Amino acid sequence: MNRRDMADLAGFDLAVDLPPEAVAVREDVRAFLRDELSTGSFTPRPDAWLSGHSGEFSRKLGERGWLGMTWPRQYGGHERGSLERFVVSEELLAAGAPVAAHWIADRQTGPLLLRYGSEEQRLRFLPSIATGETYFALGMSEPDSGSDLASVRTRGTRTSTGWRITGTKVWISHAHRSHYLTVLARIEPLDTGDRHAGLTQFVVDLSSPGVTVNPIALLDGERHFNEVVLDEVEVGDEEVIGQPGSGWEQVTSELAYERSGPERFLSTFLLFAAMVEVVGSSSAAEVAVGELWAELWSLRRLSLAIASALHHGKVPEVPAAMVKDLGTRFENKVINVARAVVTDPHLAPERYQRLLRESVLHAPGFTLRGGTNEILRGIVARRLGLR
Amino acid sequence: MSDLLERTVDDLLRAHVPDTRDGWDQGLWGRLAKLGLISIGIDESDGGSGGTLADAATVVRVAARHAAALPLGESLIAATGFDVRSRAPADTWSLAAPVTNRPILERSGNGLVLTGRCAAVPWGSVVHHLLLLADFEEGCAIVVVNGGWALTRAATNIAGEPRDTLDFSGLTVDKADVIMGDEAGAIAVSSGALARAIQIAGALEGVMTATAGFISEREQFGQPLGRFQAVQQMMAELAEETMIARSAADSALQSFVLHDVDAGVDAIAAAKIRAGMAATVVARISHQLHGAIGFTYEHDLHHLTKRLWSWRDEYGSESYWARVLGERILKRGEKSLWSSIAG
Repeated sequence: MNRRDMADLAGFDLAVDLPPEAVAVREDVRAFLRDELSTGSFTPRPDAWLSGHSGEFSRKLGERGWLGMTWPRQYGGHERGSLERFVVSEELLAAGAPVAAHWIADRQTGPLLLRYGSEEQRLRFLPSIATGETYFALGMSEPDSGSDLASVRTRGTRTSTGWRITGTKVWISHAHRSHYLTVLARIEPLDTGDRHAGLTQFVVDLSSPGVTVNPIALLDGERHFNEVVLDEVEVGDEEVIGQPGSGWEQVTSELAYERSGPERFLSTFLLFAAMVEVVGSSSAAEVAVGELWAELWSLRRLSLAIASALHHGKVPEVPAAMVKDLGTRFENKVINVARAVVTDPHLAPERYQRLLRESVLHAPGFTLRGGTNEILRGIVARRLGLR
Repeated sequence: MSDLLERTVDDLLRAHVPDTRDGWDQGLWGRLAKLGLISIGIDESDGGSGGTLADAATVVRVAARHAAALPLGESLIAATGFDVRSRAPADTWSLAAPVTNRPILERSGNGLVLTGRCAAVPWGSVVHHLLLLADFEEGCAIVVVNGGWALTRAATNIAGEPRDTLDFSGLTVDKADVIMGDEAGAIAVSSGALARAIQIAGALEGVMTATAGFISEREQFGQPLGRFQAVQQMMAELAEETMIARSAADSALQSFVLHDVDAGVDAIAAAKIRAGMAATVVARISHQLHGAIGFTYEHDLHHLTKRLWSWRDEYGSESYWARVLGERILKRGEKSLWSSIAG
């Protein structure tokens, strides 16, 4: 029976403490970041996992064992705990470090291959993801398929040696700088009685014949996104992830895992910090800052609790969706509060103005990517037995 | 252990028929005491029934889920900051920590005496013992008052819980009943805020369960309200606020027990703020989804929502704690912001 209480929604500890090894790695990451900042190797930017692409930086993280942290050693991983990984992620994001190059591969594709991939795929891809040298992008959305991901029309047709893939994928971050694309394609025509059947995930080498990558500029003028056109791209059976037809289950599991991480509430942290610097000390400023701090602290505690639950083998899909909805709304709120208390931004230092500008221009994406917040609230509602 | 405890308290409260007189459900207190659930969190060697502060919080939270009319948050959480509850572990306790206009503790001959009043003392007309934050010489002190006050004005919060004005004038105080130290004031106010954060978390859960149930049953336009997307979106937001307030309260409790006072105060301030914000959103959404019937006295919803509206303003509202936090954060500056969050 659906009791619709907290034990139902969250059968795990909601207040966790970091183990000593996670506390220790934090100091290592901070020291590394201090060194990098002192040499000027990067400029801190909001929304760093989208805006900051640096192969060099990713390789440095790989060298220090901070990519593939939780993976088995035989695949180039370091067999460290999820909470250590959580700490490394949050330190990098809070510093606005350029983590975009490895972000998808390390956080989504790696776990996907560990969970559903073949041994050959794991040995082929994971080691160089963990060294920060191989980058993956996500081929999911299409011009006619956004929230309704099951309606994708990219088609995989069987050949004697494998598959031929034709279709167009869109909104792909950094496809133009990635090596591989994971593609969700339909291998059987849509069955309206079972819309999730007949979907398959493939790994496509972006240098293959038939692949065209076209830039999509966002409204800030930057090119992070791409359209990828696949015109009869040939892949082998060894490029199928999991089983043919099991694509839907895999893709939803992939999305669920990554909904609740620190990237869902730290995109505008640099602006929050800069606000603290420039706002002065009026009681209005105190109340505004105190409230934001309370919200951020609470989001982090819940995100940490979910990371710990994941570490213990649980799959808290609904709490993760909740963190994404709450966190991304918080990211937007930071902008609103900054505008409310820093009443004349034109008099503020250039750094504050830049952070405000970049935060504003990136804000629409926070609540759209990784599942729109409306879809996520629908997932929560379903869990409450309403659908 | 705590799952079993949670179910035990939940079952007891589910079966209990509320019987509130003079503002509190004395019969329920007795039943909880008989099961050792009042003196939980106090060592058996001190006359308690054992268990941890987290266990005590479970009792408080589950009771709040059922809108129990009892000084449980005060007795089991707010009054625990100074290790005095073991003096009378099954008795009713409260905590009064006024920010301004405090009663005054002063020397009189060879002894100590209190003067002055305190308004809105939670359960003042009901409890046997009170931890009272009073001004003393250059600072303040916690005074353990074991009755003897005059009830100047009986009053309630909007949930009907006693919030009385007590007059302490002329009460002599034993040295053993005075707790001093720079942090006494901060611990006192924080303990109360922590209690309310835990209570709010419980009441939110009660509202969430009730509202989800209501919208699954109530039909309009040929189907349950819960099938409509607008309703689903609102219900999801309600559930999210409930989840994060609970996580914040649990985390603040952990900080209270584990860490230094400073970190504990930050955590409790954050939890009280977050719980207060959640209380406002959840009360609004639950009433909106319940429609007119939820607005009546006869329907049960108000027992919980009136508590949410009351408790968010007690032991420091969101803006009070936000100012306390904000002042500390602004003083520490931008460079310390991240480490204040993450450690």
